[in-house]
Amino acid sequence: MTNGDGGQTRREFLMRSARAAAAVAVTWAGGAWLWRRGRRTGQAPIAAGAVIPNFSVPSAGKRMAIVTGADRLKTVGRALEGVGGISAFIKKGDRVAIKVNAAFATPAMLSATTNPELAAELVRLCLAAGARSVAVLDNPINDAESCFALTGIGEAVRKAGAQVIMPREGLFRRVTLAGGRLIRDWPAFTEPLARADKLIGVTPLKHHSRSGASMTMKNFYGLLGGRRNRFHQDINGIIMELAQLVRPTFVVLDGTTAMMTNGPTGGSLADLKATNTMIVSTDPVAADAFGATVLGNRASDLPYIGRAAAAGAGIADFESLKPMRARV
Amino acid sequence: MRSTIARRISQGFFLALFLWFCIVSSVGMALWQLRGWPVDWFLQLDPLVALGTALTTWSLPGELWWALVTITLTLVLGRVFCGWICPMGTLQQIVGWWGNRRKPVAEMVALNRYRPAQGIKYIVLAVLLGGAALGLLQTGLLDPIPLAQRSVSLVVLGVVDGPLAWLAVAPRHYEESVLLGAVFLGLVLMCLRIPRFFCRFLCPTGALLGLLSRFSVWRIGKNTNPCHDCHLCDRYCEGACTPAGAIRTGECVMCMNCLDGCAVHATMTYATEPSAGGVDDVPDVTRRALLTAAGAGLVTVPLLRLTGRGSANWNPGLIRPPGSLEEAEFLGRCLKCGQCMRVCPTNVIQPAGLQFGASALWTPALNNRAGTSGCQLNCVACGRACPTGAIRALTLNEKQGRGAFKAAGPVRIGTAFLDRGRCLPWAMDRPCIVCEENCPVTPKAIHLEEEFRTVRGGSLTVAGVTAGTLRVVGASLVPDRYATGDFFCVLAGSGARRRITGNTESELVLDPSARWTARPAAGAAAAIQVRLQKPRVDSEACIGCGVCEHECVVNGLRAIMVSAENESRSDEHALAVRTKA
Amino acid sequence: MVGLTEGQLLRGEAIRDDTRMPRVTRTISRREALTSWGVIAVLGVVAAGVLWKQSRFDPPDPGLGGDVTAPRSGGNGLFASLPGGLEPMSAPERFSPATLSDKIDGRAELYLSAGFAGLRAQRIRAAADHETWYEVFVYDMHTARNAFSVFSTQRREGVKGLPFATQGYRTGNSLCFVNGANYVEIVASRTGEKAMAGAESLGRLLAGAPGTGGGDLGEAGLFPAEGLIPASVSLTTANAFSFSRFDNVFSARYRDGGETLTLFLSRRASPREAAGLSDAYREFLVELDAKEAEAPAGMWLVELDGSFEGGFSTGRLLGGVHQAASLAVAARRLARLRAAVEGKAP
Repeated sequence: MTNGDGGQTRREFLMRSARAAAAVAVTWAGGAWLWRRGRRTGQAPIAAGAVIPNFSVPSAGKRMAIVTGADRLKTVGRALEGVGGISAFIKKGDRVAIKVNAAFATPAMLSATTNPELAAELVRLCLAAGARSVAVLDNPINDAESCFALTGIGEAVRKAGAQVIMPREGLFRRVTLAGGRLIRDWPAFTEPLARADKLIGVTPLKHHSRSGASMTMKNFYGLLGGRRNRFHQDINGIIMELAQLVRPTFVVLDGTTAMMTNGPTGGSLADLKATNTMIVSTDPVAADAFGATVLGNRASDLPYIGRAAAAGAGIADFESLKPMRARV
Repeated sequence: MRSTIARRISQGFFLALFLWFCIVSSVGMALWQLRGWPVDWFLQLDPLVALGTALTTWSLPGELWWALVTITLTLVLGRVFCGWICPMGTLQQIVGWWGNRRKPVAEMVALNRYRPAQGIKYIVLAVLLGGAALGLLQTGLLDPIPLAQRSVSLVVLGVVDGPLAWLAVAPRHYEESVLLGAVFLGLVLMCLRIPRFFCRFLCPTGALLGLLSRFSVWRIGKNTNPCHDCHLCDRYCEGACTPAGAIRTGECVMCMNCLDGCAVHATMTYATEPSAGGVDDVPDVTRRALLTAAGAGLVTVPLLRLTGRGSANWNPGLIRPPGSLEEAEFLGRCLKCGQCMRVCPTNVIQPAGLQFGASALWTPALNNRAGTSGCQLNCVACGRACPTGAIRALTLNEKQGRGAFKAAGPVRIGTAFLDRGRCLPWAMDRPCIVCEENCPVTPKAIHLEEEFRTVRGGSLTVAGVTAGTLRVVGASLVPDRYATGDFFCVLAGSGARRRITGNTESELVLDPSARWTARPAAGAAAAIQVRLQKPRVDSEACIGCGVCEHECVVNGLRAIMVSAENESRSDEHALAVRTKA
Repeated sequence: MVGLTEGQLLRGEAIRDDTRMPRVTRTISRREALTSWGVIAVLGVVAAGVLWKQSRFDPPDPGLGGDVTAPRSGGNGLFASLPGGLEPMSAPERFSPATLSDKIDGRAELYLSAGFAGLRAQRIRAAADHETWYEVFVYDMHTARNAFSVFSTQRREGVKGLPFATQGYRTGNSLCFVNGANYVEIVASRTGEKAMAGAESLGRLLAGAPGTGGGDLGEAGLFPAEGLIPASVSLTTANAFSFSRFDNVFSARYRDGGETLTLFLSRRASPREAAGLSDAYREFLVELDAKEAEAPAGMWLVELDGSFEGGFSTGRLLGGVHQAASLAVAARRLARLRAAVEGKAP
């Protein structure tokens, strides 16, 4: 039991004991930390999640314009003047996001998706108003690349100077609508919005077999990710919540050629009707309420309009906005 | 008492305790049943279980803090867990001793020499911990406690108790028994050739404790008494740690046999002083090899993610026990220890094979055909047996969505889907309501839709009637084929209907307690109809327990089968929007 | 040192020749001995800890270890005291309409559709012989009529009557009877006189206790006893004899000579309704091609497909005969029934 110099042995023993004691202490301290951490995170509440900024411009006021005419570029130009001009919304250096409806890989002719010329015109107007960049985005139902290619939107907006943002997985964040029932901890295409100063929604006026009509509020359904088809079981509820979640700068509802039946995909020119109406509104609820009349309905026929208005997302009585009416 | 005697008593004690825990892991209040036995204790003592789970979850769930005791013991006394406690080590030591007991000393010394391949276990450890660092826990594949637990619980007990039927009324079945048994038997039998084969070459827990034993205060070594190089210390050396030379502390399992071997010269000691023969406490693997191994372990995670099984390509056939965490988290905690499979009273929880992907091998999956029933409504045993909380410990209230859990609803593990092409009433006009009868939830998730259908060849012409019979023209019916009470005679035109209570070749005997509301005339058309009650599934009431699938009369490929759609643990797998409180 | 060479191995004296192995038992230090005993003591502590843990088990809920059929709640027992030789085997259970199917599963619908209000059930066993036990079901059916309805729709064939309950019978291993608004079933674990005597003593106890209100059975007690097949009275709540206006009809099977027939009674809201319904039934039969037959005064009889049907009304009571084989028997039985019930429901 005795080997070598007693003092040295003793020193070694003390050193080794100290090291062992330190290791034991580290083990128990780490263990205690991990154990308590486990208790704390045991029942994690739903994270508040990412938030979509409010893009509305209060200084521009609540305004709406309804312009009739067959030429989209003219009607949209006139309608924008009617709500105070593009410069009332887009300031120099703004980064603008445009949410188009590119849901289906169908030709523009079928009016199931945003008209490419209209989208391109909005891009040009924004850039002319001094926007630093314009990003065009959607999370379509079909494969995104083919949707942007076949609808013609991709090429048209790129030529006009915008960038198309494809729905890559990394661009989604889980969002929760405060007080919401459906949009809770749900993935949404929010990252491009987090990098934008203004948001414009532009969508064709369509019949929708599930919800009655697909217009500017329903357009933001295209921001949802995940297995969102589940929401079709409560379509009015989800549109109402989307209207609360997404507050755009303004929306453009293109009723130049409306899809009257067999929406949202249509597929036949027989489903279309030249209704020759262009609506620009700072309030999507009002835009949709008027849009319903173009489709031959009353706003009260579409439950989500009333529910969105009741939830404070906008005004269903569009006449109270005193819309500017014109014909070009 | 010599320390080797004490060690053998300790090993015997812990092996017996381990076997006892395996035996008692069955639901019930008898002394030999679960009651309060701390059956997860060995798993809780296992430091690799704790470290792996800590890496995947950054927490120490349940009572895994027991591993800190093991680590502390190792830091002070060396690998006593391996030599004195570990039941897998004890089993190997017994088999190794039995297989080599007649060998001459020289051969034994050669058998127990150090082999460079003993470094492999450090590689194994590095690979497993690499995977765990990215959230995938596969340590249980080779971790000796989970390995022994599942092998003994599922295979050894199954083989032994099958014919005896002391523990289980009906023989237990486990789909993966052949592979599980082969691995276990192979590892144990290898000890006939090389003692402690698994401990020396493969055991990742031993490797982990070996690394820790560098710090240990007490160690085996030589004192300053002269060593005569007789190598008797090597003769029964369990760890193959070269006590005769510079001792490899990391390999030493504290069997203390070298002390007995050195009885004459008394050179071997267990003391705090460093060995006079020198100490080699660095594992025999290069740092580069370890880093490469850990890197390989890390890579397995994205590699497995590439299969898409965790996302769009999820396998709905994989039904996890009630209370299981979402799949990625589940795989970060499941040890494949088999406790849930052992404790499940209906044997419906089975070790998964490779059909659910490599990472799910031997994890629990429900197989409603294999058990004696489906998942029992009033049972939460699996979650209470799970040592790491991969299956949460539910209360019955939570499982059934009662009391405080009313708003959350019951815990669903899947949904039953009816195959109308196979279901007897739907496809073959044969009355059967077995699934509805057996559905245990209230109200029943399977409900019935009544339909009367004319049987094949059941269109008849009336020849005449009496109060209780109806004769038919020219028919040759099989006598009493329609006597089951499910068949009715229906008159064309009026639609009047009476139950058939029996029949001869040409006459139907009708229920005497009823009578025709319209009188059948000779020559009128009539039909024999069968009353069918066609089952339908209410997805809001269905919890996926699988009792219907188990009981289904179509007992090959069942006409009603549960798959994991709508399981509570995943919002992505929901059938409808889940509104959350 | 990585592996031993053959030379190194053979250098040791002992290893060269097994026969010259030193057989020495190591002498151990006092410290080692104490430490060893210390380890044994630790094992004892571990064993004690394991036993302590196991003994402290308090099932957090019945899911683990508990009886999986454990009662939802205790509540009052079915019996204030048990007959001699019997003891409780389980706590009494209670089931509501929402939970009834947990207990009786497939048959729940039968009770629920008949106005089920609650079920109390308990297992009782013989103190001397634990293999003999009884499960007692007391269904609260809200009214006596409902209780009788579930009793009669589940009636078994070939049974014996009960001395303590007019509406009741026993089979080889069970008793079923109506007690006020309660329908009672007592199922024994085995057959045989001894087992059934225990079941009867339980039945008597329950029959002696007042049922939970709900009114008497009325008509069921009015059938004349002569020729009545025991325990054959049943209640059809709707569509009796395929006649859509016949609801709440009590019927009883009789034996007369070699023939069997059915008599029926139904109490209506008013004498007018009883008389009108009797006529309507006769017209219904005639429409089915029945031929008028000669009947005693104040009654009618018809022949349909070779058997005889008849009826009458007296006060609020409607009565009749169904499927008698001969006109003579039909007329005789009809007259006796009328005599038996005359004036019972003015």
